[in-house]
Amino acid sequence: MGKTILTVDDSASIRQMVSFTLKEAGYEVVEAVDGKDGVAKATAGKVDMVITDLNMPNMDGLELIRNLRANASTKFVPIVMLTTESQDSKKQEGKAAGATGWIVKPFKPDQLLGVVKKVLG
Amino acid sequence: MRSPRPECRTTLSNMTISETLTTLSRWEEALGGLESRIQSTLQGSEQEFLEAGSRLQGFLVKGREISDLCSSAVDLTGEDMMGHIAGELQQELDRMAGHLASSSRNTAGSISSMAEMYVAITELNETRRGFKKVISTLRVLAISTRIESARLGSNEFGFNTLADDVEKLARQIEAKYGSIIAKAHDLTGFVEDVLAKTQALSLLQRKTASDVIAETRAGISEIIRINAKSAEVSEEVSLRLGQIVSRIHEVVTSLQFHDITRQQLEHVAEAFADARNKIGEASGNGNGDPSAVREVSGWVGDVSELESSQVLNSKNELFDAVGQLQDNLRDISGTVLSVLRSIQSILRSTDKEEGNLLMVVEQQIAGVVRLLRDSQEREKEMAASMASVSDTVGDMERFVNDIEEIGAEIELIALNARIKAAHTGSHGEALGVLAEAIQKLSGEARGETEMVQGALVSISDGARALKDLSSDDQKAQVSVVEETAENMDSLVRRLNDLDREFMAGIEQMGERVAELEAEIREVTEGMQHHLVVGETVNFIQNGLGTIVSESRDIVPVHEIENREERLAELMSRYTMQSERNIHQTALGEASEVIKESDGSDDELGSNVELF
Repeated sequence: MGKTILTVDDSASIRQMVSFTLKEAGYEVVEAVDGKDGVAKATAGKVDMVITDLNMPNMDGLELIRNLRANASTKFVPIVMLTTESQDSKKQEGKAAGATGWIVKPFKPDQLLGVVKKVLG
Repeated sequence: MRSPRPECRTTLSNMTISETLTTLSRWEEALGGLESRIQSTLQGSEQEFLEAGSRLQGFLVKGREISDLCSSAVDLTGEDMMGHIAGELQQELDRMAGHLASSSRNTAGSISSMAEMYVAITELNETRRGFKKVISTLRVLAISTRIESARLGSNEFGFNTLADDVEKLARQIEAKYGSIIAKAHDLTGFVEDVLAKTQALSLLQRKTASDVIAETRAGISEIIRINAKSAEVSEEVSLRLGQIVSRIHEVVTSLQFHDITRQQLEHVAEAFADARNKIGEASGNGNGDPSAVREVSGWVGDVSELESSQVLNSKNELFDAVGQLQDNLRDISGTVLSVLRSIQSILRSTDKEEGNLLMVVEQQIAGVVRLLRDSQEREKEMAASMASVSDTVGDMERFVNDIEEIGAEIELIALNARIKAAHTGSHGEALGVLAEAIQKLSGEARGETEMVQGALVSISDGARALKDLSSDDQKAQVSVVEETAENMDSLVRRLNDLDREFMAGIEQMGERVAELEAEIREVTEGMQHHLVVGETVNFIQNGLGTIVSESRDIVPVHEIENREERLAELMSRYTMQSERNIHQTALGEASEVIKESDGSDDELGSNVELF
């Protein structure tokens, strides 16, 4: 059985493209519409990796990372930001919160898969 | 009650404060309208992109299905399948050509043997004169003996009996030789008939060997060539299908631009909302501080100018993305159409050529097999006929033996005549001459008999050689030919089965490709959201253009207070580097464009960074 990746984004079309790319490569994908939904889904079942947007309603990506890092079951799950945000200061915030990597939108499927392979080994 | 504010024309250009406040109120309303336009443009706009995204999965599934069909087709035509069978067929044809050559050699051998037999029979006929001479001489001698006996009168010493014996021998030789000649006549007719049939068979064998085998070989080579061509086209198709997957990946990138454009337009709408708030705050319900009114008038002009550039950039990026998406989809569609054309070319060529070729090859092989079977049947018939020739020759040999015995009797009669002539003394001298003549005749008869025997030996040898055609070796060859024929039939059947399977796969592939092309065209033509965004952006730019123009009239750019701080604050709200770049470019600060951090992962691209 393939590894499970959680994609968190308030944009359905981004979730769809992430999901499409990962499923094509044989991964299981779970979708969440914002940070709050992401935390709930990440802690409810086994998730091997999280790919999250930064700016989202209810709970943003940074808060999501902090929540997951505070949870024993998700503390070491790799979390990659997938966002339009490209400012270094934001990246540093993400890194400080516990992000594993940063991808600026739009992504190319090969890039996303390359990151996933590197991160999941 | 508050007293009216004094007019302040010096600080607000040519407008009074109340005129400016009225203008600000109009801007506030206009910006609200633009904000609403953005919201309504974004409302439900994602559906179109989601629909296109969901169709991508179907495109890939169909693409893979076509690719699988293509691989199967390539496998069928490959070295392991049709190519291999065609190769085996070629080998079997070589074996068949070998059998045919061997059969031709046998036929040629038969013709040669029969020709020799014919010559021998002709030679047999040529002994007719010699025998006639022997017979007529015997008869003359019998008459002469009878005359001489009459001359001798009572002292004849039984010469009449001698004359009777000679007469009798003449009749016997005539009868036996007549039988030999009659048999030889029958044999001539028989050999002529068999020779004609065999020569006709030989002609057919030569024609088959030179034409049919060559045509069949060419047909099989053509099948191999068509298969190789089909495999080549199928491999090209497979390659192009791989390009489709790569194009679909690019479409994935383009489809993310809905989210990017949405965010950009939302940022613009936020800027409008912020500007409206600031207008409200500065206006102070019609009692705004002139300097604050002046500052916000200038600021709204800046915001409008910048956001006009931002929306234009959003529009351009979206149009580029949708353009690329449509280009990629059209490219996929074009690839799919070229795949369809390639498939149709396979169908046309294989349908017209290979189907016919297979049929022709099948017929030609059947013709060769039939000829080989006929040849062997003919050889068997000939061998059986030769048995009767041998019997005939046996009969003839018996007649020859009889003639030999007659010759021996002539010898005895001649000896007896000489003895009687000696007893007769001088009266019997003439008889002695006759006895001598009879003896000489027996030698001639022996010579003629030996000639007949020689001819019969030749005929017999020829018959034996022809009879040997149905020897064990020949029987073994029959079974080998049958085996080769069965192998060839089986190979052609397999080739036909594979051809049908190949054609069915290609047809199925054609159907899938046509469906895929129609679906892609539907999605490509269905992309309309960018046009709506384009109209919205044009509308926004028109509205903002008026505000910018009026703003610059109220406050020239160089007189706007706190401009740098406000612009810096506005810039800090952007999330995208492209927005920051547009912001700086619009302000003439292109040279100061902020460079992205270079912590990117080179291997994965400049937009990727792993911590």
